[in-house]
Amino acid sequence: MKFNQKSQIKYQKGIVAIEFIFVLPIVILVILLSFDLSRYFQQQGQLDRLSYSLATMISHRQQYYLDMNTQKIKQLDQQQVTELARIARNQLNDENIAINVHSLVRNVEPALQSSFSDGSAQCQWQSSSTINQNLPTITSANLFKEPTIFVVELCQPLIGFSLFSQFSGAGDFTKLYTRSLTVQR
Amino acid sequence: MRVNSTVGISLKSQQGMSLIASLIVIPVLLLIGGIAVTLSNTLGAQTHLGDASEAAAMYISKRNLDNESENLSAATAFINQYSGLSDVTDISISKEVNGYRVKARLDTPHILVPTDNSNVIKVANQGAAATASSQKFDIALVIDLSGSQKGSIGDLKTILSDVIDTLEQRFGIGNVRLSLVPFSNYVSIENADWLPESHNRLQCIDAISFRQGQYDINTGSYSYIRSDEDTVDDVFTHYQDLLYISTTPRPYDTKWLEEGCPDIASLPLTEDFSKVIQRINEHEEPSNSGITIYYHSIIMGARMLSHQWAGEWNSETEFREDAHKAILIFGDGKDGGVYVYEFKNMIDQGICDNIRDEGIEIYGIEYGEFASGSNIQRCIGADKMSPLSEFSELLDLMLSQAGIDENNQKLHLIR
Repeated sequence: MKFNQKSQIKYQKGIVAIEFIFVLPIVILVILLSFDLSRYFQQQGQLDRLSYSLATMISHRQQYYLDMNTQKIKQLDQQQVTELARIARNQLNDENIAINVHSLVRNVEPALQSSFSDGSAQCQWQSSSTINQNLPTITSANLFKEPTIFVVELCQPLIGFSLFSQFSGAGDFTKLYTRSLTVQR
Repeated sequence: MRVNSTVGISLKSQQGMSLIASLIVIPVLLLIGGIAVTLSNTLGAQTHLGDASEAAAMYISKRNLDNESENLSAATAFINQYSGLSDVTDISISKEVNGYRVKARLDTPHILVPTDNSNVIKVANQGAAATASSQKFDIALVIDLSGSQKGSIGDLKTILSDVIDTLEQRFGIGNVRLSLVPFSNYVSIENADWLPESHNRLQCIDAISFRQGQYDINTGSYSYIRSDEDTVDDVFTHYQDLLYISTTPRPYDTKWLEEGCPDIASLPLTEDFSKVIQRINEHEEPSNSGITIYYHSIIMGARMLSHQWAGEWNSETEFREDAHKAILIFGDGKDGGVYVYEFKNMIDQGICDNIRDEGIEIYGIEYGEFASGSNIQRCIGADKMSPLSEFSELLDLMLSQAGIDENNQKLHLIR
């Protein structure tokens, strides 16, 4: 009996470790899944807020983009977009962020559309004409009331280990994209 | 034996315990992770929706089309242009003063969070914006407090409060300044820098007394007499260059200055409208004088706004070169006695045109039983006067004549 008891105890040795080996990958998977999704949503939120802040900044033409010599508001240009890109990269501490900014002057017919970008994006930018077409149609009587609209698109590659990007092949988890728009102020 | 077998059983039963424990723990971990991820996603979506609603509110406020269905479709289209919000349709719009409020709702997917029968969480947020003029406007409110207004003090206070509210809504903060010039016969002034320090109490001011030099006791006559024409020219003459300013201090034992002077002092230009309201509310009753003299108050109103005088009232007032300027006169148009002819003569000599030439427009609110064809109507012009009930239209006229239109309306966010 004594022998049996000893052999049973010996038999139990390491069983927790062996079971844990089976369980550990599942636990790690759950943790990584939560971490991955959390990080995704958190970064998406950051990017959304940043794009709205940049749209607000670029739309404050009277305050930030006034030609001091002529006292006229400057048109959107590449330099302004490059400056916005620098702000975006500094804010999120990520040199890989790409930006595309549209200006839609809609109180003339046809609408004046222009866009400038900075950084090599993995995302597909929207075309200015598509955005313009999706905005409300303007009647000629109210044409003069139509404000200029600025659209900011941001694209941030998701770098580092990601369960979804590594194993699922889902394109959504390899980059983040956001678009915000606002009116000229 | 019994003990041994018990130990054996208990040791055997531990086999698979870790797996069983894990089977219990993993769903709990999944649930906690799911809740965390769902909350994170929901909060992010709510912020994004709030930004989009705010931008949509700015868009329709700037367009200012006053068409409910068009505003709704415009706001919906605008919000749908935001990434991730292309299918948001649950949008409502409410009117704010000079602007709109946009409320939007969005269904977000949830992970392992129990909700009411549906598999989505409803997220709502809102944004509101309004427009106000970005241009500057200095306005002198010239108000008749003579005896003819005796029965309408309560109405007057309500009316002026409404007018001030309207002005506050139509302009951005700090862009409009108001001054107050209550009058009956004369105008009451207190603590003005241009008065000698010894005069630092309520004074009854005769705005044209400078046309007479100082009274000489020895000769029994005034040292100099100036004509109505000179008076017209002297409206904007700096106070240090005027011959004489007649002041009558308030006696210490009464609140009344003298018959014909209001019980509240004029208020120089201020951005703080509460001071204007407070000063009006300090008014208790009109003087007993039945005569109303308009020209003193018009001259003092012009001096509140002109570059020669605006900075001379107190340390807080300064002349704003870039501000549009207007005198807004509240009165029934009835003046009396010999002053009718004096004012008529001054109008003929061009006193009102002189004020306009200085860049100060004059408008009138017909208040009480208005006397048509009166001097004040001749001075202002019938097209620039309106009954109180049409003040909003008069304000539109004031803004358009000042070149303040919808193209220079400034957007601002509201709570």
